[in-house]
Amino acid sequence: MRSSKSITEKIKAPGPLWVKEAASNGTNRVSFFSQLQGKKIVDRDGNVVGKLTDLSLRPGEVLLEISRIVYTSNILGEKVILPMSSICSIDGDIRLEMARDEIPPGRLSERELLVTETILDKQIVDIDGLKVVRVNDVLLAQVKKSLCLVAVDVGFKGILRRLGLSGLSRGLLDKLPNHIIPWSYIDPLDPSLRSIHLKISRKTINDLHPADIADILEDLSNKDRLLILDSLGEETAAETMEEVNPEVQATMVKQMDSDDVADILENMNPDDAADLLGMMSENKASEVLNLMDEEEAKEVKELMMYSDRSAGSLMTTEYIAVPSDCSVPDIFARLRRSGQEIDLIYYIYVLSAQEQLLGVISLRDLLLADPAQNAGEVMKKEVIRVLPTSSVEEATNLLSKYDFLSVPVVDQDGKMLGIVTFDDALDEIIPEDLKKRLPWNYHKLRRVRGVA
Amino acid sequence: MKLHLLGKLNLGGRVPRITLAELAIFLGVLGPGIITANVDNDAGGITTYSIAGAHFGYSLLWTLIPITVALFVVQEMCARMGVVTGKGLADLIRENFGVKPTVILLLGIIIANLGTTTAEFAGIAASMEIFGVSKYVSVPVAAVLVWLVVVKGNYHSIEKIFLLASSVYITYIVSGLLLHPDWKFLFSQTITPSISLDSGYLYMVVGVVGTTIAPWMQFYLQSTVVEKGVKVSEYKYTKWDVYVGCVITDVVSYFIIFTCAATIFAHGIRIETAKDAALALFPLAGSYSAWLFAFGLLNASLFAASILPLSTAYFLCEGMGWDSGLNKRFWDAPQFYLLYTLLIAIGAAIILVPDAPLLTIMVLSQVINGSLLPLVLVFMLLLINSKKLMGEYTNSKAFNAVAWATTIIMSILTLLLVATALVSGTGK
Repeated sequence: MRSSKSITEKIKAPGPLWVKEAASNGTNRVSFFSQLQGKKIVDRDGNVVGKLTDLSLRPGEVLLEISRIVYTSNILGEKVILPMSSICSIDGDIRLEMARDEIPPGRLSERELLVTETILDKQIVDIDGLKVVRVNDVLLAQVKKSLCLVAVDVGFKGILRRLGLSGLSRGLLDKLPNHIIPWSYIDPLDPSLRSIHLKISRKTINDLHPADIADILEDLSNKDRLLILDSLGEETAAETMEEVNPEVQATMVKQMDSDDVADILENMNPDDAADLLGMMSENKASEVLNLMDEEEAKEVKELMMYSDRSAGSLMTTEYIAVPSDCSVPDIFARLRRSGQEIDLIYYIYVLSAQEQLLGVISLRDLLLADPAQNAGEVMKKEVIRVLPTSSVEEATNLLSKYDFLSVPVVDQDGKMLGIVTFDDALDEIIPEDLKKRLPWNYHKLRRVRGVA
Repeated sequence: MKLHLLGKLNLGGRVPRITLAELAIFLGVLGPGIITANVDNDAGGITTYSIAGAHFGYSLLWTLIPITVALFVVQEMCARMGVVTGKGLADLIRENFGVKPTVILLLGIIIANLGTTTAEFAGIAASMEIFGVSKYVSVPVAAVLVWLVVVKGNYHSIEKIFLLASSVYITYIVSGLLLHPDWKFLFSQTITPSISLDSGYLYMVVGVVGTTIAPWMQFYLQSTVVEKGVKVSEYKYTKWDVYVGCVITDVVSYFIIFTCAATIFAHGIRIETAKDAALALFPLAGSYSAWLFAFGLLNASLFAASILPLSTAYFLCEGMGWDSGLNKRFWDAPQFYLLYTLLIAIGAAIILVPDAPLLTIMVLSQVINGSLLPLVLVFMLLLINSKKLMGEYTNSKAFNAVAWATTIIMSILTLLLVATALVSGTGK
């Protein structure tokens, strides 16, 4: 299932993981601008020299890097500009590497922009020039050693935080979602424009695809990935996890609690879940399996038995099956009932009481069938099939040759085990580097055409 | 082809020559200024002026001259900011002063404007009762009518309806003219300020001047100038739109005071509301004059019952960055239309609830409006003097002096009004 989720994803902060993390090592790698603003600036000798008022940005390749801080000195009230390199820590107070009298006069270069002047409170306009919302807060995160602007907060919680009301109503605040728009959705800043422009249309702003969240995750540090994943709804988290590349998946699950992993796996496609479990240590995998819902765990375990790069390892156990005496209207009823949760509903497999594959009905056959007929009469009996031990290449060749969307996996005794879908097969055979080479207008195309 | 309309009059060449083309541009940009200024004479305004005339005769007529100046100074700045920046006042406040002032103003303005909207529906109920229509019929019908006009119309059709409503204010002028004013006497009364230290008189001066400028006007005017899309090159015509609007409005106020002074004051009758004034006019001024007076009140209340919620909706959407505007369809600017709908529904509903605490609501809204006004005016002055925003269109030194003086005087008078409202509101 690949339902679209809101772009203004519900990123809870400070969520459980954030708190846990902050408590464990005292660092706070993701923070909102409003939480930094007004922080004390402390020099090497522990003297408070001023309060943070602003940050400057240097446009980078993907993300905007924070290049300097601006603070109001507490002696003369003048604005002082310092490069990020002279700051040793921003956890708690902002600590400088130098003593008070060593602070050099700094100034912004022409390309640098101030957060309060160019981003905060500015109007966000979509690709069609329609107003969407204003920037209420800015989300910063440590990405590869530098502090970067990763997203803008457009939610009500951002407003409360700016009003300084977040402390008053922690309990209430935790329940409210943050509405975050990742920076990757925003066009490069142009100070001469009077607003911030989105790359997408307002109508699709509620369509941040899990694959896009996955792309963002891949760019972040592992801690930030977990933080964001933790804050997604269970279902979105699972869908996002499916889209993350396997190496990143492996790093991520290593640092996650078995409980959390189990929750995510339950919501993933069984075949993807099996792959993910296959990458974990044996101890952890069995621990996770024990924590999972029994039914789900069983399916996943069966899939895990198949060797890598076999049709069995690639197949999913989610498909639509009906008995041969099922009438055409009943098949439609079943499709409507379970079609929401199953990826591929274009083939209906007809099984005997012993789960033996008897035939297949395509959606086309079904639509054209006489409502008085039953599954046994409509189905095609000649079904191209593979064994669980067949190679991925074999399954892929069949899909390609016959233009199938999926091919059933059936054991020696004719018992139906699952299906290999074309998209899973495609993932398997396209070289990794080719996948990264997307057309320049890929994101837009996908939205326009609804390619999932 | 240039056709000099006034050229042939040859008044020593001192009259500015207006060409047909210029007249066409003027008629094109005309609207926001006239509409905003006219709505200043809403149910509350008409009540205040009626009481001023009925209780103090001609002695308050002079206040309309400084009022016109103050109105012009403030409105002109809004129109100028709208034309030059292309943004509404709430947009500018949010972008330049941040979330805190925006949210404080927003909350205040929603409550205050809800109160004023309720007062407009009370005006509709009162005026229709003069025509013998129950409020349980007139108020729901008016609410639906006002809602439909804005939701179904686009900017240009709505502006035409509003301009039509503005022209209906002429009923007050006609109502006054039916009394055959003695112009010479009126003129001398107007240019000689008669200041009395009587507390009732001072209270009335504060009331008349204090109701002149309300925060909603600034937001509405600037937002509609922006939505209308007036170009900088057309600004001089918008300035005239504002100027003409202020003058027309105060001429209307003048005739309301005059009508009540010539009749009700002359007979020493006490009134409490605009409805009392209209009813008192029947035996004193004849039924034509009274009917016109009542119809004027109905028109003004209907008009303002639409503009106040609109102004609120503009503020909310600009402040939060949501799409807004009369040209949008309902679901393209959902927050805009939902707030508009909600304010009308609540405002109308309060009037229909038996024993609703109307007086408390009015006092509350007056207190909030009065407290917000100094804040809004100071923000406006800071914004209009920002070179970054306004470029060469910042205030001149002389204009700034007048503007700051206006701001300070209006703020003091408004705060005095707040104080008196609080005293009388809690006293009752």
